[in-house]
Amino acid sequence: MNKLSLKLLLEKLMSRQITRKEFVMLKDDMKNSQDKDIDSALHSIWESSTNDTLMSIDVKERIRYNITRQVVMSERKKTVSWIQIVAVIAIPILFCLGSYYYFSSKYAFEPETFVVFTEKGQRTQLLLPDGTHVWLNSGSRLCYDTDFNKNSRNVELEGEAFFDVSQNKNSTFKVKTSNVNVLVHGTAFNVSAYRNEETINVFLVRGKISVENNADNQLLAELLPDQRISVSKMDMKWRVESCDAEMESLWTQNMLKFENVPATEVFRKLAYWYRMNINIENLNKDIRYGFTLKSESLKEILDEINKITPINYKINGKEATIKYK
Amino acid sequence: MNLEIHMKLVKNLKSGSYEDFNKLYTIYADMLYHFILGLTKSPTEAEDIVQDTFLRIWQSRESINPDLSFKTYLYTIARNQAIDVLRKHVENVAFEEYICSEAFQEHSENDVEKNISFDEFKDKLSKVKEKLTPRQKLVFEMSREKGYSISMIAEELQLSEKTIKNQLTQALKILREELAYCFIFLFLLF
Repeated sequence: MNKLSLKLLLEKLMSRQITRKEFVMLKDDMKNSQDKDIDSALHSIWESSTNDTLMSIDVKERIRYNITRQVVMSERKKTVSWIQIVAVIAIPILFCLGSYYYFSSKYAFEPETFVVFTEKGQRTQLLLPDGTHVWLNSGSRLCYDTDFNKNSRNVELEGEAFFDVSQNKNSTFKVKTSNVNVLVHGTAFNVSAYRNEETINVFLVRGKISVENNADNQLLAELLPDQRISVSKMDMKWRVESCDAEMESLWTQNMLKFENVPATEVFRKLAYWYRMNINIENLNKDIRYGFTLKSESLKEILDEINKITPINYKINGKEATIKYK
Repeated sequence: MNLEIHMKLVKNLKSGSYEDFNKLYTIYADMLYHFILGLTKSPTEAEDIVQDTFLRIWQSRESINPDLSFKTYLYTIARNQAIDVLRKHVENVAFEEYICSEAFQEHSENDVEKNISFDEFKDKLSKVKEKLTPRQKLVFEMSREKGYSISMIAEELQLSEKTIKNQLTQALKILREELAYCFIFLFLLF
């Protein structure tokens, strides 16, 4: 029988190609190998491994959240033990020198800031320490301090995020943006405050929220479900209009699934998904589609649709025109 | 991937930037996760090790050398746990059973997530074991999980070898039927 190297056996295990015989060989090999031999086999497999298989975003963000939580907890512990040591030394000194030194210890409480951000074309989800679920849209950043949830629940947002805020009557949840703040108790809503856009948009799915001016904390408006407020950054002029909040928050879904859905409905959803205006000509009302999309562009989808039902289309910035042949 | 940007991230991590630590996590977590998952077929093990490794990288950030490859550094931090978990799995009877099962062999190359993981397999096995009588279960575990011989079990339980053989045959029969999808065979040793 050919003797296979440990590395090859491990590679076979990893690619699910290993046979029963080979597994027994691997088992024997492992038993007779020292850690350093296993290490060199693993190391060489590791160096040739690539980054092309992604883990599911839920798992990735769960681990990120757990790491952050443990970091926060261990830093807090450090602070406490440091304070304790200082207290033991400082109390006698305090008696002698008065309260002067007492105030220097307050620096130990300076909070750190966590920043979560997404690159262009990426989205992510995260769980804040109070259980609030946040979906962060592409090209956005969200900051919060290590003392989040201690006395207040404040986050700062640039870009767009959807919040499903966990209920806490005693602590208001506050989203600060460049110009407006959103105050809530327990609800689901979306804030869009991109730096390069002229307005800040907030819409509400359920619950109740207040929107205030960031500069003077003056109340602008209270929103009810399915309402949207747009605030102009230039002059802080605002208006409230009704909207379909559930459709507007479609982007938080990882994928969009259609099963035998009428074409009009499909295009309505696609318009929300891609944030485009879609105009349709010569549409036959009986056409139905079934497909799933994840990260495909509108162009790719239209090319697919063209294969089923021939169309001409033109995409121009935020405007798309589709003509059935 | 741009090497210079990576070196800058590592430098910033060394000086305490949690933001850049997060970026490194975003870039490298998937690679480590799939490496461990490949070795163990267990999402929970992979998750634990990724979490622990990155946590330790943050905690020992000051001793990191920004001139060396972060990928290699990541491996050296994960190495001991990887070796331990690999040894543990290869020695595990249930793992061997899983490797030889249809569930393992019938894999799909394209959709890694569709493959039955070792975690799911263990779950199924422990659920099915509940269908055995307490004595069948005991005999099965002693034979398959602790590697006792028939005579050793007979001595330990103060029963005849014939009784033990019968118990084991029945246990294997039940498991085989219940796990028809998962197993080609359950231990040829018998």
